[in-house]
Amino acid sequence: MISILIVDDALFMRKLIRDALEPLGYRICGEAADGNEAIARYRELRPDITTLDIVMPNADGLAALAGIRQINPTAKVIMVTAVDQRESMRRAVELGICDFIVKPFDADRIIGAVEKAAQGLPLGAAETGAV
Amino acid sequence: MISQIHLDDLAASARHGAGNAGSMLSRWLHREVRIEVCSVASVRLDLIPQEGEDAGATTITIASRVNGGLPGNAAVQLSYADATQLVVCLGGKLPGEEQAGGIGEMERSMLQETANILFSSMMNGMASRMDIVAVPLAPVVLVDVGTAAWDALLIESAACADDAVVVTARIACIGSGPTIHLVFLPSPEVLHAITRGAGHD
Amino acid sequence: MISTEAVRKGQIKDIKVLIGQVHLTRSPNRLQSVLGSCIGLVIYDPEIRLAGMAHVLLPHAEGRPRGMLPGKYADHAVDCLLESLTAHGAARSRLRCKFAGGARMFDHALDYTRDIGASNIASVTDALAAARIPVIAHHVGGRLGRRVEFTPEDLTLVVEDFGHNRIEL
Repeated sequence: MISILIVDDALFMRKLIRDALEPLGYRICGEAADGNEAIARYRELRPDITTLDIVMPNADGLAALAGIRQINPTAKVIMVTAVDQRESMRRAVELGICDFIVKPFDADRIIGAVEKAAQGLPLGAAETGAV
Repeated sequence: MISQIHLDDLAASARHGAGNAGSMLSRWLHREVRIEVCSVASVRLDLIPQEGEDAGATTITIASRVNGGLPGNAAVQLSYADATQLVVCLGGKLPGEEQAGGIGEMERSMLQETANILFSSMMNGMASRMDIVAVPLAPVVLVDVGTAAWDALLIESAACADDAVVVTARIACIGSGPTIHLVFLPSPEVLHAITRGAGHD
Repeated sequence: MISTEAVRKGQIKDIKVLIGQVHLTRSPNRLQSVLGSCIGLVIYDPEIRLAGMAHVLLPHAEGRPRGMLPGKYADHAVDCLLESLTAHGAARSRLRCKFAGGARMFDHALDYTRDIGASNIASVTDALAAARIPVIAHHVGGRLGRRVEFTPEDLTLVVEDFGHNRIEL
């Protein structure tokens, strides 16, 4: 089963992402509400995919992305951003991300991004969890 | 000194931002939302909070510091009844007004996220017309009596002058729905920059 | 206690003191304000039931001129109240003070407002001490906004916070 870490300071956004992915069999292995917590949770949980909000208190999404990249240079990260954060987005792309999603988004958009990111994962990852 | 020409220019940018924000909020709330810029004017500080007869009623203020090329304070203020309707749009529920202090974390987050989308789209719509980038920080939700939240919003402008430039907009959900007031108070320094850069095109 | 009937009939005026303003009134009128990090500063002469309220937004004028809003800074507000109260017949030696406000409304998002409430409280206290005005009572700090009302008739400052606590000072 593919494991996902959801990082967003907004409880409601975490719920929206969880509600979109859980019914499709993705396992939400953890949540984090700021950049520092995101790095700690990533190190501890080693999720297959991380969704990462950009605007957060304390350390923001870009700081978290850099931290996660240090732990795992090939970590799969989907950036989630409010509209028109062009500058932040450009820096995120430089650091390396799978995809980005612009808020407000539909469930289909997050599902699509996660499916795309999951394609690069080792075959059988989904089945292992199901046994 | 800010002239009417600068205010008109700022208003045109604000209308651009409002159009952008209206379509984003429509997508977010799954209903048609229209945002109209009511006024862009220099107003004496004491007259900025719209203090009515219900000054002591429960209101919800969601405020965000905006950084980047268009710094200032953005805030939306809505009555408890309107906030209740807004939260319903997102599948939540607020307690009765007398228990307003006990708003749940999820509902607080719904309000915060709505403001986040609103501020980001509004401020960036505004800023992009001025060829700059606005960076709104994570908004805070304050549930309190009437105009008490205004003190904090006005401090920056107040330290420079007895009046402040205020952008006010009305957010109307078509049909029966919340009417929300949005304000943006540009930092005094950015106004200096705007006035200095006047007549560039 | 003043009846709401008297207010409605216009025998008693409720005067709203908005941000940065200073207002004076005599019994039976009342002074009202809504405060967050601001301070509602009341100085009064108990003998002649004359009172003034300032709605203080910032701690120090730092040499800036008084301008259109004489109650905006704590130091200006105290000076302005003393001048106008004595100009209207108050005796300097009889003046007393009550004040409320100075809450901390926001946490992180509006960074520069951090503890402005606390600075306002300190600054008002200093300015009153310098002017040697005795502080009879105050209700300050905390996290909640306040609605305040001063009644020169009985010299009470009623403070109601958002938690529906009602305190009579």
